Amino acid sequence: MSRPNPPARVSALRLFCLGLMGTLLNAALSFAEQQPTEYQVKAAFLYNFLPFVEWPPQKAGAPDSPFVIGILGKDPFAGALEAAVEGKKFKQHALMVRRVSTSAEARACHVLFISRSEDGRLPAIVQELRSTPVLTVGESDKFIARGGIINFIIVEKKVRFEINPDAAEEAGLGISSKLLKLAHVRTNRETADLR
Amino acid sequence: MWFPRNISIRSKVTLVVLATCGVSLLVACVALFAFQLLNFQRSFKSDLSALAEIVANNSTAAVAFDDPPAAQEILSALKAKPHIVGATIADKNGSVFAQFGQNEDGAALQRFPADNGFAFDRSYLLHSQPILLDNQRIGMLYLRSDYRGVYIALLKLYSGILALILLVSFLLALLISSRLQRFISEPILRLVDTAKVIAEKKDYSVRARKGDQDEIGVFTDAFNQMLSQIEEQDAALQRAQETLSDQVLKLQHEIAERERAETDLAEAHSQLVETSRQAGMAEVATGVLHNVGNVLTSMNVSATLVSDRVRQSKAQNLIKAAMLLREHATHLEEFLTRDPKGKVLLDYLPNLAAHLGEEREEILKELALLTKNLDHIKDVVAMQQDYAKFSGLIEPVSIAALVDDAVQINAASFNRHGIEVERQYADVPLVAIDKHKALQILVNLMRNAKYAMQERRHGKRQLTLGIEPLGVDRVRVSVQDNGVGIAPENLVRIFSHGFTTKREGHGFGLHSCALAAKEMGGALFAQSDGEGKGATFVLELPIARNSDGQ
Repeated sequence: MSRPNPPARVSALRLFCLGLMGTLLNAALSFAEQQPTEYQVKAAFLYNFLPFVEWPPQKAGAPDSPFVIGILGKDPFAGALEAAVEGKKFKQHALMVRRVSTSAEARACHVLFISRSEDGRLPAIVQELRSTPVLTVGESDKFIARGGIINFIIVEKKVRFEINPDAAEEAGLGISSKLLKLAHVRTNRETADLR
Repeated sequence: MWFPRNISIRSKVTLVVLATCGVSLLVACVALFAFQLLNFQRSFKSDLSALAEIVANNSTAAVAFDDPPAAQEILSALKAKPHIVGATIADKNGSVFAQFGQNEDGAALQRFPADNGFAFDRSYLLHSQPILLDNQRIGMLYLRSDYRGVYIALLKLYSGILALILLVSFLLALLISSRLQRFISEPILRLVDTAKVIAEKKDYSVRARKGDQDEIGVFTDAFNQMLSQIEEQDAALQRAQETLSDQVLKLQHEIAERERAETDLAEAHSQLVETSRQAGMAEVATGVLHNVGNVLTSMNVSATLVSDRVRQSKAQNLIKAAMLLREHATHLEEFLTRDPKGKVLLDYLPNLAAHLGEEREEILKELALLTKNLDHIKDVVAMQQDYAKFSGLIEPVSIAALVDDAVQINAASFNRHGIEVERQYADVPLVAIDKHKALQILVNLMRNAKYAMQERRHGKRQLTLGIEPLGVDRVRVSVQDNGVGIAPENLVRIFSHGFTTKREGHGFGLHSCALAAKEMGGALFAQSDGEGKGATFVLELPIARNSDGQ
């Protein structure tokens, strides 16, 4: 994947991956023209966030302890997240996708994707995770306002994200300036009126 | 080596300093800049690599989150680096993700090297930098840098700096050397000025001022020393010249004196010649007087004889007879017949008449001789008068007559000494000579021959006179004797001035004879087979032109 392989082999690999996901495929699709789905992008983003976020050392844990990406609520990824982290590591930590339902489980995660299905419970969840070094990622309009750290948005048909650095700081997480540069930064003050 | 030779030493010194300075500076700068340029590629690559790393690192998020505008923004920061003419970020599939500056399509990107590598594309340096996210390649950054432009710019900068450094250092060197060259050139120029002054004014008392105690100082000393020597020599020369001119004056004086002496000598010589001529004439005169004397003697004898005859003449007896006859005139018959005296008288008278007739014959004879002798004297005197006339005149002369005259002059002494004269005359043309000189020469030669033969006690003394033609234009007159002869070593010496063998000779007889012969265009020389073998004197004389021996 990372190697500039001859086109034929890349194409074959793609087909294999897509087949594995059980997605309907147009056989005529070429590798270059293929548009990943929204959640494939979001899954990749979730994984890509990792290098730009700094967890406190005690939270990061031992090198051999896995890094957990949790999904709270209804899983919209349809296996795309697992595919995205398949065989990958983050700083020697193995990566793990876990469906969570309890707050304890949520607290054990390093990254917690909060599905739209949980929009109603958002304030409670956020309240629960406040001051806990868990990177909360959501995809609803009021996610940042409710205290979430990163929120996916769609801008010009492309997946972008908002970041609330204040919330990240409150959680004890460091967000890379590189990431902030790409993000729509929403501070607490900005979001106060929406709260 | 190229070097302007005909410029002043001042310029040369300055030039040497400048050349040395310039060359060493040039070498140093060129070496330094060459080192810089050699290092340029390495440093340029490392700079480019560092730049690429920064940009790649900055663009990780943009690539990771698929945000080309963000990547574009990051790349556009490269405009701060003018040498980056193109920057491209490709995603992990190789598709162009973001681009700055020159557009690079897929084919162009093929030319870029592998990870972290460098490659040259014409004047550009290409560099590839992987974009890593958590050690995973998520894209690639391609930088295209105007390597040559930078290189040329650097070259220009270095050249400019070099030129500036050279210019400034040249000016400084010029300034310094123009100040310092005086230490070298000024003493030399001083010397040159001194030399010029000396050359122009010829004044060797001028001295060069000495500067430092270096080679030029030594040279100045030597120069001054040389000048002193020249001055001394000049003075010596002057003295010598003065002495010389004195000596020349003296010499001129001496020469004048010598010339005067020579004139005196010439005068003396001519006097001598005159004397000799006179002596010659005296000899001629002596000869004449001798002849005349001889003749006079015989005349005296004749006169005495006549006088005696007349004195002892029987004419007295005739007178006595006549007186007897007168006494006896009255008785003449008686007397003649009776007187014994008368009788004798008759017989005596015819005897007396015969005797007187005889006596008269004798006296007439003696008187005829006397007259003849007188004529002879007259001839001799006339001849002497003829030769004694002053003459330098060259005239056609019959040489035979002249030789005979010479013999005639010497005839008396030849007779006295029993010298026989033999003549061997060939028929020759007239000769062109001064008659008197030639006669003197001949008389002289004959006298010499006579003296030479006088010494000979036994045998007959014979003088042979020869005249014969010599070549086409000369006549050879030889006076040959059978006298004592001449030693070979004297054959030439006898003609030199002052040579004589005679006790009372003056020694210029033959010398002046030879001179006289030469003066007439002839020659005089002697031949002898040695002492006791006789001698022949040969006088060669030129034939008179337009004459044919008449």
